[in-house]
Amino acid sequence: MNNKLSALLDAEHAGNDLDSVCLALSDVQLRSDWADYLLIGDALRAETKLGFDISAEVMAALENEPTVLAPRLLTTPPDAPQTRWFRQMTALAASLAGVLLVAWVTLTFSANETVAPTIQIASAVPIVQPATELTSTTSDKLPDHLQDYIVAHQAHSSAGTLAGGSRNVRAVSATRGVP
Amino acid sequence: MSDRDLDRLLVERVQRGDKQAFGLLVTKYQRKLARLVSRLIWNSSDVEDVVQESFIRAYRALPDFRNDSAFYTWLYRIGVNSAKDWLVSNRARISATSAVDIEDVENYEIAEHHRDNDTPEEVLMSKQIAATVNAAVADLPEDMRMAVSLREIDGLSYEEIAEAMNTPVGTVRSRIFRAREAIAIKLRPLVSAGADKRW
Repeated sequence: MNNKLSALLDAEHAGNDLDSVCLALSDVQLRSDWADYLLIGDALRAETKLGFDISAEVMAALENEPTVLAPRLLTTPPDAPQTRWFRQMTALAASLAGVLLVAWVTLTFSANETVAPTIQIASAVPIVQPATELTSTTSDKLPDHLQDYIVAHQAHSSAGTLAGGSRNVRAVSATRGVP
Repeated sequence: MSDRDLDRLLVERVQRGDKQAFGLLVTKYQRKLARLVSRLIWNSSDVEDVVQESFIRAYRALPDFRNDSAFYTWLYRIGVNSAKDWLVSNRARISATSAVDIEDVENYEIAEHHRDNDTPEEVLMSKQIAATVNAAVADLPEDMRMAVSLREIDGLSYEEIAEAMNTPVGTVRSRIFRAREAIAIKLRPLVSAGADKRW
């Protein structure tokens, strides 16, 4: 056993030496031999505090400590070059996909903003339709001075065909549509 | 396998509930830690307290230790922190003249800056142990003396020693073991006086 202990001290032990040594640690003589071997090394390296030994005190203090139980670490083997290359490419592809998604969303929304009035007008057609009728009906009933005023200012209208008025009428129609 | 690998295996054993394996680490690092702490704390018995506290802290923190760094590096950090805490809590007892630049302590070489704060008894014990070991080594057969010296002083691996001595690794392993046993036989009467301090 001491042969194994000596090799263990130098980290030159065989596969199961550590297990057999640790299982035999209840043997006071074995623990003392471990301490002796370490002390010999320190003395040969001319280190100081050679008489320092508090191992008994420490281990006695630890008797009152709860036993350490840590979850075992999952040791993953180092990546093979192919795996590493695949991971890098995957990360690159994911980044590219992210950029494309953001670009697509941005372009789609900005396009929608441009198209929106068209859609709004298109969807408003059924509503506008009766409103137009209303307009014509309403404009027929307008007093003459207002009719003249509208006609006089038609040139200043943004759409040229009473678009401003049309918008107002459409709003009225929409309000009517709301229950 | 390196020394760091061995520590990792021992730490893993402790983490799986083998408290005895921690005793191997305590015995292995107690003097190194004591030398580190004694650069911060003057009194010899205080050094003992701080080193003991450091090991207990280390044991409690072991579930969080993930082997990202070497065990001894992690342990030394705990030792320095324990010493700093001790200095803070005992500030009144410490004179200004003994103040040390704590941040620089870890960067100092032990041999250059070690303050000889051991008691005369401790100094005498160190000298006797060193003299006994050196005398025992001098009495060893040449092949054993060379093998153990290459290992302990030069830090060569068994394979490197085998190459240097032109012998099989198994022979190196056996020579080093027999050398240690021969030295230990002469050392035991000396250290038996303090056997009660040993685990």
